[in-house]
Amino acid sequence: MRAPFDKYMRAFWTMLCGLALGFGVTAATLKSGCGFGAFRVGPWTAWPRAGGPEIDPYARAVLARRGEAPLGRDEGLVFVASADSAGGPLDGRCDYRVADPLPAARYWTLGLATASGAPLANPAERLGYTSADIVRREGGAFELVISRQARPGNWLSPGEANSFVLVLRLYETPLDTAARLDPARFLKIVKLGCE
Amino acid sequence: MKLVDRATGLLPWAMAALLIAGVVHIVSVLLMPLVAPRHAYARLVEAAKSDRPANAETARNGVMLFDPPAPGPQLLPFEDPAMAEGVCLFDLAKGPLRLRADIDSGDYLGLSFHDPSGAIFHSMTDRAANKGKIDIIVGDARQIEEMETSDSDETPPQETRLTAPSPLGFVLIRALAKRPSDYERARASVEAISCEIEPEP
Repeated sequence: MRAPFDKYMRAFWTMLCGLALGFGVTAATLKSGCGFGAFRVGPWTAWPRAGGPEIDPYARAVLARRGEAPLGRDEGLVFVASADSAGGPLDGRCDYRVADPLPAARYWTLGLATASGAPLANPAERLGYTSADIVRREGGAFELVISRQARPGNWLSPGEANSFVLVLRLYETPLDTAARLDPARFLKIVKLGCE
Repeated sequence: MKLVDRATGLLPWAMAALLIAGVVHIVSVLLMPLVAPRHAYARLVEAAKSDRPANAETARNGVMLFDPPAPGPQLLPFEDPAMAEGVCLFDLAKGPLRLRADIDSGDYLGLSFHDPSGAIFHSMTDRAANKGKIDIIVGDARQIEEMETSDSDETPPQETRLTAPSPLGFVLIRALAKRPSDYERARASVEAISCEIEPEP
């Protein structure tokens, strides 16, 4: 009498486990990023395929869930860094130096944002720099400091945020995302010290 | 011995659970663009409809301008604060969308064409302008086909024609303000773009 009933219970639990596991895996994968085809240079990650018609279902799902409208591949490429060049997570209490070189692009912009993509409130009242308004040294190289304390030159402040991401946008770049890029030829993020 | 028996008895159930998990995972990923409550299109439609737009100004020439970038959550996440932005929402059931822009400043202007989930089906910049003008028609497969059949051989079409994968969607316009003081000018160049419903031939 007990055996057939037992089987129904097992089938029920099986389905429940399957559902939970399936949704769990979906939630985890969507949280982790934009699907396939990540282009990584040191701490920077870009998703070149998310900006074109060859977008994969995972990237599509991630964009829809975040409510994001990506940059088209013909417009440019967005790089996000949530760690410094040594691999440590970016911390609002620490100072960082961001320095040359950058790949070729018609314009670029560099700014700070929260992990969910909102610009950060900060005492510098500056949300970012562009390739046109950043102060350069002789020869065209530049250096930018991220710190809560005011700094001379190119300075961005994370304000009261404890963690943040750096967003680099290269507009109209001939960068070849099929090839590997040497991190030494890309923007470096160096930790200077912490409070 | 009893433990092994128990394990082999549970194995089919575990396999069934994994199979269900796989199906649920694939289906939920594929359905996400349709069921996500706050995807890009939904955010933009909400902003366009609200009486007192908190994040966007009212439509001019069919272009809805975004508020100037400020700290805190924006209408869409991960947008560049150096850009003046606007959007054209389209519903191809009402007719094809015609987008016209005059390019004269030489500053960066980007156009990206999205389906409701935010995925891009076409993108271009001001460099793609022909004689200082961008002229684009977005239509569904039937509308574009009808235009092509009504073309005469002597005068080739002046506009670029794009086939949208879905009847709903939006065109995001981004104009770069190279310096914070250039913002108003960049915004004016977004405002100068017109998005209209093109009468069908």
